[in-house]
Amino acid sequence: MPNQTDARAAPEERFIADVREAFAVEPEIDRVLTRKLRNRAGPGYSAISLEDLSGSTANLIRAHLGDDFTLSNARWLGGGASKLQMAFDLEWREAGETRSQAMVLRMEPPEAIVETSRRREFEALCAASGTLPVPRCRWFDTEAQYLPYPGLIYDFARGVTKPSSRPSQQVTGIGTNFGPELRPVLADQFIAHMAALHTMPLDVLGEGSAFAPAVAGSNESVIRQVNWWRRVWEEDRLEDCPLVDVAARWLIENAPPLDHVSLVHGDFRAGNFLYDEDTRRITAWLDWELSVLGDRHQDLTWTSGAHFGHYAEDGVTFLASGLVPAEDLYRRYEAASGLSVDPVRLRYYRIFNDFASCAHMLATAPRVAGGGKTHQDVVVGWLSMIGNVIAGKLRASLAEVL
Amino acid sequence: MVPELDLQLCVAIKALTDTVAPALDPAQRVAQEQLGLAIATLRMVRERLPLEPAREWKALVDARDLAEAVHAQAPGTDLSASIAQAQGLLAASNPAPGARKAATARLLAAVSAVARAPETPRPVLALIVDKSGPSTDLARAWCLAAGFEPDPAEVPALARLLSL
Repeated sequence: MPNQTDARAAPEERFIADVREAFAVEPEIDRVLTRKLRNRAGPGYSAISLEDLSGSTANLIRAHLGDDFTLSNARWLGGGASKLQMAFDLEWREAGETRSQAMVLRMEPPEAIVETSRRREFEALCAASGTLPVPRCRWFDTEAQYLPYPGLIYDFARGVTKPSSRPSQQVTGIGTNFGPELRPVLADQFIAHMAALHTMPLDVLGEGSAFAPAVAGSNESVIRQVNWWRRVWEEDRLEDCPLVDVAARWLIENAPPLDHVSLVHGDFRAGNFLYDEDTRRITAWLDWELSVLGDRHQDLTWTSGAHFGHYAEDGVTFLASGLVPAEDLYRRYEAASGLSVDPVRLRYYRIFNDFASCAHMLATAPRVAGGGKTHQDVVVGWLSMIGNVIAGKLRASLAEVL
Repeated sequence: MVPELDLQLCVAIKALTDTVAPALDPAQRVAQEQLGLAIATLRMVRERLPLEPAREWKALVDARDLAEAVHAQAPGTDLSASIAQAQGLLAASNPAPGARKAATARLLAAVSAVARAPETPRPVLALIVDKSGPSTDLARAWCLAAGFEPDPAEVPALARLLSL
């Protein structure tokens, strides 16, 4: 249980005002982080029945479709560490015809291992559709007007995150081994999709978007992102870690200006795409909640993070996301995208990603699991241990630059 | 007689493994995953529980060493009281429950304040990174069984770190 003498356990308005002032972030990020703090002293997650959640979901759908629909076959979906997911079948009338579609409700728990915006996730999915395979977005409820907590609904995408013949005991797709035959087939698509994402036009995120603009030639948006995770570290940690504070300083002092603005997925890795085991085609990219307008090197280094990969059968070749050696990934990405891969930016974003991951795993994960705030505290508590692996990598990277 | 904590953990693991797990519908994947992790967590706690006092002691040693190194290079920093308190708790034969853990937290908070201070020069930041090695190694070794280390051989053995 949280320490009752901990000011972060039940933050007062003064604390909230101070962190908001100290760490300038995008307005939508400020909104969700402030909401998180104001709700922190409230109750933890109480089990919600499928029946009750189906009823809430039906209320959201009713607001858009009226009464002429049927929601059936509700079932929980596993996978992921942050959001509660319920699949269901929807049948409705549209333009005089009966339509049916399997769908997914993706809903926040009271506090998650990453506190993010459903509006941004919805916008990112809509923006990426047509460029990448993504589930079609239907509706969202950012203020929990109908749902117990904010959520969105999109079409159910078929596929698996890992081979059914190679069961993994690890959570959220970490360390997935696709096997030597499937690996190159998925790697081709993986690289092509990353290149397409980073070069797609961004005019779809127009006026009124929940993404604040990012400008090539400026490092303002990069600093905003560092501030996002500095603020989370300040809001959530149970204990200090001087290494993380050193990283935050270095990242602010060395933030490189953007040379090209991309929609960055933010969690582009094995475990976050589905593929069809028969056709071996990637059918959907999921989990867009960490997406930002920013630098492609963030995705490139995230996907090649040590904790997301594993060694090939030869025992010496390390495979980024279990798919391809990092150097091959960068070379092929350059060819596919026409964008350069800059070693200096790779180094910067490796430190950035490890810093942000330390905030997720060493600060937020124990905070929310300890507060009983999620639907799967045991998963979050287990996952928090990866933070120490990442802190070790962060220390090694900082030792190279200081 | 008070039942051994190890015995209580053992029977809980056995019940979950032998009775609850087979009774669970394989289609309930979320429940399956949470049960699997609950059992894994209990097994890890059972393995680590006897070592916890030694870990708390070593974590305090590491934090004190870090703070002493920073204090030596930046004598103007406000670390001496926390260091002195840590010394006392390391020497104490029977410290109050949680006292060493709290002292470690105080030392880390004091060093973090140094790291955040704008006037702290780069060599001190580099020193903090360098001297954070033992505490990072200890945490990684402690959590090794979670299976997240891509190269477990890179992590020092816990028994060696704890001088067992």
